[in-house]
This record gives sequence, C-alpha cells and structure tokens, in this order.
Amino acid sequence: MKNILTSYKTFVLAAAVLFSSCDLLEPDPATEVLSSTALVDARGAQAALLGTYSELQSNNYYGLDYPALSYLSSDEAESIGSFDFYRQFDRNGIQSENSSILSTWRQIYRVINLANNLIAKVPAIKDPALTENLRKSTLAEAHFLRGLAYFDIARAWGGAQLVLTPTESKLDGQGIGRSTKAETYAQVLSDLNQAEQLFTAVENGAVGASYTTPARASLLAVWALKARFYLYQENWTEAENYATKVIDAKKAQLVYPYEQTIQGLLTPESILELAYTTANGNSHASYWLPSSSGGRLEWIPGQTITSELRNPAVGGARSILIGTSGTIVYGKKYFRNGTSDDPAFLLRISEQYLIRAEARVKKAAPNLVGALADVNAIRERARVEKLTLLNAPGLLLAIEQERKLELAFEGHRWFDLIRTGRAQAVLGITDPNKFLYPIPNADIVADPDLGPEDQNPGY
Amino acid sequence: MQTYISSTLKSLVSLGVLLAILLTHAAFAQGQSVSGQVSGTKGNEALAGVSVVLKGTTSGTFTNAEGRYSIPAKQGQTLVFSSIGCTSAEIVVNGTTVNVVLKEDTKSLDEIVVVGYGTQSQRAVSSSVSTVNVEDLRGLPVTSPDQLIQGKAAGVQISSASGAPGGGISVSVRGATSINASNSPLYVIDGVFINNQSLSNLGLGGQTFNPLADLNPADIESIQVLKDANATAIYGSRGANGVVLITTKRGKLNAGSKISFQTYFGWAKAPKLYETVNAQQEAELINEAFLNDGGAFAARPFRPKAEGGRGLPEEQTTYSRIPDVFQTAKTQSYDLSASGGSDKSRYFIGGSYFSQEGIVKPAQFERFSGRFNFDHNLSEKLTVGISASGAYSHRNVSRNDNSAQGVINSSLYVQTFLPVFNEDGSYARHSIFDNHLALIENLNIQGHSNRLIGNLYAEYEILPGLSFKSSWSLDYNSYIDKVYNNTQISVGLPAGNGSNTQSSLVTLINEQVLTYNKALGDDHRLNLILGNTLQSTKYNFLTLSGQKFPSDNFQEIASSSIQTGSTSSSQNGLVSFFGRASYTFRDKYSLDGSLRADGSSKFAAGNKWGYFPSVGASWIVSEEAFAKDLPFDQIKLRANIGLSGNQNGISDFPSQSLWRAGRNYQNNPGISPSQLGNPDLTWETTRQWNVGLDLAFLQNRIKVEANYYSKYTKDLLIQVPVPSKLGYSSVYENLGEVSNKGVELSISSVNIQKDDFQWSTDFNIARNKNRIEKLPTPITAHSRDWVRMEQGNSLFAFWVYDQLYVDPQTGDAVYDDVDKNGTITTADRKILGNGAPDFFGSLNNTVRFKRFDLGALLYFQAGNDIINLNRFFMEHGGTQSGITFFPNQLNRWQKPGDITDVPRLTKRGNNYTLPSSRYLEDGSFLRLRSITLGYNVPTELVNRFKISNLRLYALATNLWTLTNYSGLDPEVNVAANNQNVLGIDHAVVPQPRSFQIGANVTF
Repeated sequence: MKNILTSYKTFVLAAAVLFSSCDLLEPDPATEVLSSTALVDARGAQAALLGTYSELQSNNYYGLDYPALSYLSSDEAESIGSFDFYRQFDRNGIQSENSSILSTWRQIYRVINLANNLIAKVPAIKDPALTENLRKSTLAEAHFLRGLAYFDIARAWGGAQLVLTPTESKLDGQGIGRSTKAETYAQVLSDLNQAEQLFTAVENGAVGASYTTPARASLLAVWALKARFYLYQENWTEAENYATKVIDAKKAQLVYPYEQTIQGLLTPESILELAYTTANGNSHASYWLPSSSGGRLEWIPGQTITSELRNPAVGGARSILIGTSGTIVYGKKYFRNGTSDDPAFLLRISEQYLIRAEARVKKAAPNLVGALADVNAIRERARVEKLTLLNAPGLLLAIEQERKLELAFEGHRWFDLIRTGRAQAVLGITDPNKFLYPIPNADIVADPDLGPEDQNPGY
Repeated sequence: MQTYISSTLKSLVSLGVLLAILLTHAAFAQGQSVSGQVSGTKGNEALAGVSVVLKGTTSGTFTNAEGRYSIPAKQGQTLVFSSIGCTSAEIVVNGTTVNVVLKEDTKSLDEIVVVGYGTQSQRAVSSSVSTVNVEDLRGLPVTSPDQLIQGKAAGVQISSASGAPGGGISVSVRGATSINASNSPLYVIDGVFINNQSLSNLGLGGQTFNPLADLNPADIESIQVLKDANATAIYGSRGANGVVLITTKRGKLNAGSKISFQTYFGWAKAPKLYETVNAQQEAELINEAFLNDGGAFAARPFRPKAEGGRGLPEEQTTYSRIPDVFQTAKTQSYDLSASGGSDKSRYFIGGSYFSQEGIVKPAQFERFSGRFNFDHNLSEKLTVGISASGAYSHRNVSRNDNSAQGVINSSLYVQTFLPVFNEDGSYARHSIFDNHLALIENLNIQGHSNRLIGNLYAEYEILPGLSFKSSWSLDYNSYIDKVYNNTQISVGLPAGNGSNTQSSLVTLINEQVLTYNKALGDDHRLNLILGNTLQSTKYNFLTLSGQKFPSDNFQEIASSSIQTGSTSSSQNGLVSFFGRASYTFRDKYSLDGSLRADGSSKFAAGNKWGYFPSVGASWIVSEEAFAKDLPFDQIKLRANIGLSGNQNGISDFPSQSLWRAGRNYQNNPGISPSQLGNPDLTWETTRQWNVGLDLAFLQNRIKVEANYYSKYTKDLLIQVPVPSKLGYSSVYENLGEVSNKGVELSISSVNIQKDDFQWSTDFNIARNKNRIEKLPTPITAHSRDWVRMEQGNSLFAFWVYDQLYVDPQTGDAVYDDVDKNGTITTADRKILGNGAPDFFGSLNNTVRFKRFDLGALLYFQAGNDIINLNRFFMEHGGTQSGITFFPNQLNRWQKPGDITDVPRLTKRGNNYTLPSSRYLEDGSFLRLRSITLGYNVPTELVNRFKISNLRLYALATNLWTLTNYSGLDPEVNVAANNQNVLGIDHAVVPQPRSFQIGANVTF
C-alpha cells in the first residue's frame, strides 16, 4: 500500500510540474489589465484620455444614437426601417424600456466614469514624463468631456445623477439620486470653468494655442460649448460673449466652399469634431444610405427639410445633403459607408455665428444689425441670397431656419425647438412631457436610488 | 470539390479493401475438430468473440467475426458457449458441426452501467442514469451525437434551434438551473471533458454552430446520461446540468477482425413553405392603412399611374421569391471501420465522410473524421491505450434568422409587388433587404473547424481488485470564420470586404484514478475510487479584416487596401480531488457516497474551492423473502441526495475589475474600464435529491423506471445590471435561486418475443416544473424584451402586452390595463406563456419479422409556447413600410361590427407597435421523428462477397407533425446564442423532412 501511495504521489507531482499547478489557479488576464494598474503613469493617463474620446465616439453616443434620437424626434428624419425602437422617437412615443434610451444613457455614464477616473487619479501620478502642462491639459480635457456629457444628459433627460468620483466597486455611488436640471447645469458650468482655467494656464497667453486639431478639446471648444450652454440658459450676454471669443480667435473659421465642410475631414470649420477610422467606425452612413449604397435606409430625411435643402433659394449649396437612388430620397451628410470614417460634428464655427445671432436678437439691448450679419455669413457661404430684414421676430425665424439647414442631421433641432418653446407649434407635439426622454426602466429597476417617482412625468 | 470528394472516397474504399484482404486471411486451426457458427436472436446476426470451451478442460477458443469457430473435440464431449449479454449454452457434440443460437440474457439486472470514473453493476446503482440505445439510431441523418439523444432519455430535452445543418442545439437535463452560467450538460467522451461552446465569432442573427458536430455519431458505442446529483457529484463543479458520457467503439479481445461499411443517401425538403399575400392584396392593405391614418384618397399610394401613383392594386404584379431559396437538400454519409483484437490487443479504426446540404440555399455542412482506439496489455497487470479522433468540418453558412441580410428574410419579407430584377437586369434590392438571388449566389461565409480529441492512458493492477489509472487528454478545437462580401450584396458595398477570424480552444487534462474492488465473502462488496484532475484551458483569438478590394475576383485580405487586425487570449484552470465509496450487502442493500473538491481560477482567493458531496442508497425489495410471491421479477427502491456545482459559461476573470485596450482614438491607443469585478464571487450550487422505483415483471419483459427529483440551485451566477451611473452595465453576482422539480417515467416492453417475430415498445415521458425562487431584479432577454425572468415565474417566460380583444366598434386592440391607470405603459406588460414544455417524451416501437425490421419514433412536447416574430413583422398593420404581409393580415378589422383579433390597420397608436400576446402561439407538437424499415439480406446470398452481414434500409424523418403552430416548424429558436431564450421564431430554417436509403455491410 505504501508503494501505491508513493507511485500515486509521483504521478501527481509529475502532473503538477507539467501543468505548473501554481499558475493553474492564478492565471493573469492576457487581453485586459487590472484596474489598479491601468492609470498609474503618463502613458496610462494619455491612453485613458484617448479612451474617453473613444467612448464618446461610440455608436451608442456621438457615433449614432445621441444625434439620431434627436433628429428622429424632430422633423429632420423619418424612421422607415424595421427598428421599432427608433420609430418610437420618430413618433414621440418612447417607452421607458426602449433599448436605445438605455444604451445611450449608459454610454454617457461610461464617458463620465472615465473622466472621473482621470480627474481623480491624474493629479497623483508621479511620472517625469507627465509634465505639468500635460497634466493640466489632460485634466482640462477630462473636465470638458465630463461637462459635455452632463450637458447632453441635462438637455435630453433633465436632471442627471451627479457622479463625480470613479467607480471602484459595485458598492460605489450609493445614495446618488437624481439632481435637478438646474443642479446638473451648475455641474456643467463648474466643469467648463475648470477646463477653461486649466487650458488658459496651459496656453499661457497664446490665445487659441490649445486648438491644434479639431479632433481634441481645446480652450476654443470650452468657449464654444459655453456659448451653447449660455444659449440654453438664455444668458444672452454670456452666449454672445463666448461666441465672439471663439470667432475672434480666428483659429476656427468658416470654410469655403460649403461643400468642403461636408467632404473634408477635420477642416478649420470644426472646433471639435470626433475623428473616426475604419477600425473604430461611425455607423451613421449605414443607417442613412439606401441598400444600393450598402446602407439599410433605416430613416429618410423629413419631407419639409428635404424640399428646403433642395430648393436653391433656401438650401443653396446644402442640397448636397440629399441624394437620390431611383425613387428613393436619402440623406447623405454621412456617406462614407465603406470606410466608416464619417465625422461626428460636435462644435462647428457656423453654430457659433448662429448662437451669436440669436443672442444678439434676444439680449436686453438687441443688436439686429450684428445678428443679421452673422446669419448672412452662413447664408452667403451656402450660396443663398443674403437677408435684409431687420425685425426681431423675423430674424428669429430666419435663425431657426438657418440652424435647421446648416446644422441639419447633427442633432440640434430637437433641443432648439424645445429651448425656444416652438416644439409644440412646429412639431405638433401636444404633450410637453414628451420633451424629455424617459429615464431607462432598467435603471429605475436596478438603482435603489431611483424610484418610480424619479421617472420623468408621462412615462 | 467534386473530384476531391470522389478521390477521397476512392482512397477510403481502397483502404477498406486492403484491410479486408489482410484481415480475412487470418488462419484458423485445422484438424480433427468440431466447427460451427454462433448467432444471436436479434436479427440472426453472427456473434463474434463468443468463448467456446470444452467442458472440464482448459481447451477453448473464440468465435471469429463471422461467428465461426473450430475446436478439437470428440463425440459426446460438451461444449460451453458463453458471451457477455447472452445466456450461456451447453451442447453435447454429435457430428462435426454444432451451430448455436445464444439467447439474450434477460437477467439484465446484472448489466454493467457506465458511471463517472468507472462502471457499476446495475443492481448497486442508486442514481438515475439513462442509457441511450445507440444501435436503434444507426443511420439517423444527424450531424452530431447529441441529436441522437432526443426522445431516448427521459427528462433530457433536446431542441434543435434550426434546420440548418450543423446548427445549434439546446440540451437540458432536468430543466435549466442557471441564468448566466451554462445550462448545458458536461460532455465526456472516453474520459475527456470536451468543449461544447461554439467558437465561431460571426454574428449571423442568433445562429450558432454545434461543436459536437465535429464528432462522428457512427463512432459511438453507447451514450449514458447522468441525471441526478449522486451520479454527477463526482464531476463536482461541472455536474449541475447533468453529464453525458459518450463511449466510442473499441475492439474486442480474441474477436478476430471485422470490417464494416455504412453508407446512406438522403434527400430533405422543407415540409411547408411560407405563404404571403399577393401583390394585389398587399396594395389594398397599404392603401387601407394610408386612408385609415387620414390620408387623402387622391394621394393613396396605389392610385393610377396617370395620377402619379404606383398603379391600382389590381394592376400590380406578384413577384414570388420564397420557393427560390428552398431546395431539395442531399445528404450522404460513408463510414468505414475495422475492429478486432488478439489476446493482448484490441483496436478500432474508422474513417468517415459526411455531407449535408441545407434545405435553404446555400448552406452546407461536411465533415471528414477519423478515429483510432487501441488498447494493449503490456503485461498481465499493465494496460496502455489511446482513444483519438480527428475531424475537419466545413460549413458554408448563410446569414439567416434575425438578420436583414438573411436569405430567408430577403425572400420572405420583401414586398411582393416589387420586382426581383431592375430594368437593366441587375439585382434589385428593396428596403433594408438584400436581393435573395444575389445572396444565394454571392454569399461567401465559410466555417472551418479542426478538432482533435485524444486520450492516452496507462492502467496498472497493483493488487487483485486494486488498480491505478493515469490518463492524459487533449481537446484541441479550432474554428476559422472566413468571410468575403463582394459588391453584389449590400454588406460588401462599396468595394468589398472580408475577414478571417481564427479562434482556438485547447484543453489539457491530466487525471489519476485509483480503483479498489473487493468482495468480502458472498455478502459484502466494496468499491472505492480516489482521484484527481488537473485541467487547463487556453483560448486564443486572431482576426484580420480587409476593406476595399480591387475587384470581386480578389478575395484574400492581402488584396485589400485597408487592413485591420486584432488578437486576444484568455485562460482558466481547474484543480480537483475526488473520491467515491460504495458498499453492497448481499446484493440487496447498497450504499454509496462521493465527494469532489474543485478549485477554480475564476474566483478570487478564499472563494476558489468548492466541495460537492453526495450519498445514495438502494434496496432491491424483490430479493426479500416477503416479496418472493409478488408478481415482480424486480422491485428496486432508490434514493439519493447531493450537491453539484456550476462555473461554466461565465468569463474567465469575473472577480477582478479590468480595463481593456483597443478603445483607440485617431489610431492612437486608448483604454477604458471593461469590467467591474466581484471578489466575493463563488460557485453556483445545485442541491438535488432523487427517489426512484424500478420494476420488472412478466419475466422481465416489462420494465418500469420512475423517478421524482427536486433540484434547488442557489448562489446563481448572474450578470446583475448595475445602475448606469456607475459607468458599467453589469457585475457578476451570486444572486438568485432557481428550482426544478419533476417526474420521469420510462416503460419498456417486449410485447412479442418469438423466434421470427419480435415487437418491443419503449415509452418515456417527463415533466419539469421550473421556478425562479429568488431574483432581486427581473432580467429581460431578446430584443424588445420578449423574455423576462422574474421571481415567482419560470425561466423562458414571455413578457407581453396582453391583447384582450379588438374593439368591434373602433377596430383598435384592447390590451389588459393591469394597473388600471387608463393608459398602456410598461407596467401593463405581463408574463404570459413559456418557451419550455410542461411535458415531453417519446414512444418508440420496434418490430422484427424474420429478416425485416421496422422502427418508428414518435416525439412529443406539450405546453410550450412560441413567439412568432415573423407574424410580429408581417402582420404589422402598415407600421413597416418595407415589409409584406402574412395572409392573416387580411382578417383585419375593417368596419364597425367586425369581430376579429387582428386590429384596424394603422401606423398610429398601439395596434401594431407593442410586443403583444397576439403573436404568442401554442408550440405543442407530436412528431413522427423517424421511421425505418430494414432488411437483413440472407447471408448465403452475400457470402461469396465475403460479406457476413448486409442490412439495407430506408428511413424517413419528420414525415408527420401534429401541431397548432402556424409557423413552418414548432421546433424552433432564433436565439440559439442566448440560453435564456427558447421558442422564438424569426425566419429560422425549419426542420427538414427527409428520406434516405442506406446499407450497413460487415465483412
């Protein structure tokens, strides 16, 4: 019996050596790294920052869904495909279990969590390669991106759940319920202020120096978003002020001819534009294009916007946004289906002109001449006749119209019509509860800090 | 390809001929002798390996492959013929020829049952083990061995997800226990734990491929399904979903050599095709929906062309597409094997080719496989052996199911008034759908699977009854997806794209088992085993893709102008120790217990080890004196209880928080958090008890086995949704509890047992009741949340808005307003219907008359529901602008007073937009799964070709199905890739009806 035990032991030992038994129960993940080792040096910080942009450009956020939900909700696009979860936006009858609502909401928080990681950990990184300027610009971009994410929640859903620290464990975040919309906007402003401060320090007097490529956030982008933020806040003075700062910096400029803004990539037209590659693609084109171009024609441009864009007196050069294939009329602002590198337009200089125009009309001491000049700058580039009218209501309608065509299919119009109180009149939506998306049902269920009473009214 | 196949066949045939020549030349002893042939009662087949001993001497021999023997003997001496499974016969020599027919041993209670890590006498077994009689199933046109089990083992539910060859299959033993960890049983082939997860990385609309299709069903000797905890606890963390033990064929010692060749040819068709409305009807429906929604009559879509419309409805032409994609699919199978043994060695060597076309073009599956099993006694005490099989399978795959580029979708959904070709003769594409003919001709999605399963062992008998076995096993599984989309199909636009994805999974296993068998006097029998297992699994993944090809003639990624690539890898390990003891007293009372300890790399330190014990007892009541007068040949009571575990199917590192790379921006590397870890995570554990009764009466001609079981699974490994605000979607937790309770009844009866007429019947039925006992947060599955798992209900339950009726006045659908708040919201959705059956089972009849045999297998399941998603999309009431209608749409409400359940056509409101109970159907069915007629050609007719046995047969499958389900086939599941979904039909290839002829030849 002793022999047996010995031979048995020998076998087990031999097997253990061959299998290196110690490693058998303690293998390391090969493709991924432990979160504790991810963000500890300069390279890790850069990679995490780029990762934040990558999550921002996800198809669940700017790569498709966030703009799509918005243009489907307005009159820019009409859902004709088989995805009824998109059709719910077109019909303004969203169910709270809508899968796109959940995936978009979730993706925005992925960006926020990454930004929170950077904001919490980058200050403590000890690595000579992380120069103070690099540290500051990294933090500035992180604050900007978090501010943008909360801004996108506030305008689409109302109050957000304000999470400002990185998630390390499933027990984190307890007690964080919904804040009000005003509190959310306050957080946006706080992040934008921090970003502005940090970028200003980095630029060190060379105005606009942080804007080296529209693919990344810069002081210019902070100002541009602030201009938009104040427009939404109806703080006309600040809106005009920041739009002017952007325009006067003359770093981002109107690009001529108009076609170049659509056909070019990362042109100076863009203040912030997410750049895509074939490997990390933008899926917009496949939803807009007909099957003859390899798309699924999930939606088509709305009838009114189509005829306006095609009308030389109204759309001008912007008629290139509409294509035809046989009897099918389709949108082709996003057309790079084979390479998937259509951009996501986040902040464009033409929007700044239109923000300033609106602010100039609406501010306490209106500057109608300046507003008209701003609108005409956009019209001129689009090769449509300049306007001459100089009354406030007419100008406001002209600005609304110009925003519709110039920023078409970029996800502005829905928020614009709600912001200006025109959604009921223009879109025929009688129930104002529909102006906010529902909080995803999955979150009401999964989050102890959200009860049915936290759902937006009407859902 | 054709020439390749035929040359392969030629080489196989010539190999066979060579073997035949070599082996039949084995010489037999000559001289003063008695000779003869031994045959069995079953079909008069020759019995090989029967020992023939001259009584009272040590002189003896064995019968050869043709059942023949020759032995020196004098007149008046007695010959003893004996063989396992037969009653022995003693014959006094009278003349020079003694032919014997050995009867089957009906005292089958002494049968040996294969259990985990060994065998046990049937008398002593206290657990529930189903043995599948593979012999009855020879020649069924199935691609994988698991399909053979359907209907053959009580309580084992097998559902094919689709009729695509080599496609996914769902197997559950006594219900589903888990939500996110695997629900499929552990497969053990000749001692090797094998992978049964598809390695293909293609998203083809929910389809999966069955990795068990890498195994040749013809190689299988027997299949045992271990169902209860006492049987499976020895497999510890792997056993919670049952264990399927597959034993492949081996030679027999002293049996001479035998060559067998099996072949069949089959033709399969869809039993029924989809029907849609015609173009006129479709146009009318579209006009009606338009008018119902307030459209002006003058602007209706189908108005005269002169008015700018598409022409009046009656002017429309119907373009038929559906018949184009279905075909009569051919199946062919060739299987050649040789087996036999000397006094020291035994072998089995076999090769096969199998090919099956799909009934929906252009799908095809083919497999080349080979097997070599060999055992050799190095000495009286030391035996070494190998079991090895290799296979290459190739699939030509089409996108199907839930994919707009699917072949079925592109023929079924497209509006019927739209032409197939453009005016210039090119393929016309409509809406989101591809052109079906373009797909059939241009789809190029190839799956290549390479599989090597091998096991080497050495077994040493240390003392009589005490043996030690060490085995080393490998399961190498590689799968290559090769896709080229040319510009004729929409996914290939604008300039073609291709990908090549290679995944490999390698499992290495080392195992030691010490076995001790001891009889102490006549009263006590003891059986002990002790062992350990080390297992390491490594996964590697490589993908390359290319975009923009110079023309459709270039297909390799090297030809493309934009190339991207990626790799990843992962691994896990398992260390186990196990033991089992069983004790039998006077062959009447048995008691056994086992314990396994498993350590898994998937869990954090402190939670790695799990312990899985079980105990069982059985009592053969009929051996007691008081039972002697009862009219039973056997009464046996069994009871057992045990724990088994589950950690399969979850990711390799769920306990750790991880960041991933590849979140790049502008071609610079980016990282982002990928997983929130849970360091507290541990095993899912199933506690199961089973009580059983075995009865045999009428000279063992009727046998009944009944089981009642109760399974309770706790610490369910669940991907629990976390609040989105955390930046993650879910975390693995041990949350939730699921119970399964059920009964199983099997009856087998030999109705008639005469020399040239036998009729036997096997019947089994099982009921399983599944309940989610605890789940803090409901979990939904499938698009539109059709499936919802919530506490108090069962898994596989459907979640719908309950349509009560269609208001005869307004034509609007009226849904159950559960919360009575006046509007229909998510709160009004409810659980209705279930994809899992209440009962399922089968009835099998076998009749042998002289040289003919006839078998018929009826399979049934009852109480399961199906969500007919085809109807959801094709009875859309006008909400889908690019999809045609099913004829049922014509039954819509049209005017006040109409009584119907199909609401008024409209794009607005809730009539057609909600996941409604209107699409929920009863999926019960009774199906003649197979019917076989065979004929054993008389030996004298074929003897001159050295053929000892020739059986010709014809077989048909799915000849007849009784069901109320309106779709093509009730055995359906679009989401084969999601184990939480059963019974959703969405453009799935139906189970084919097939006819085949075949021949089995033994030389």
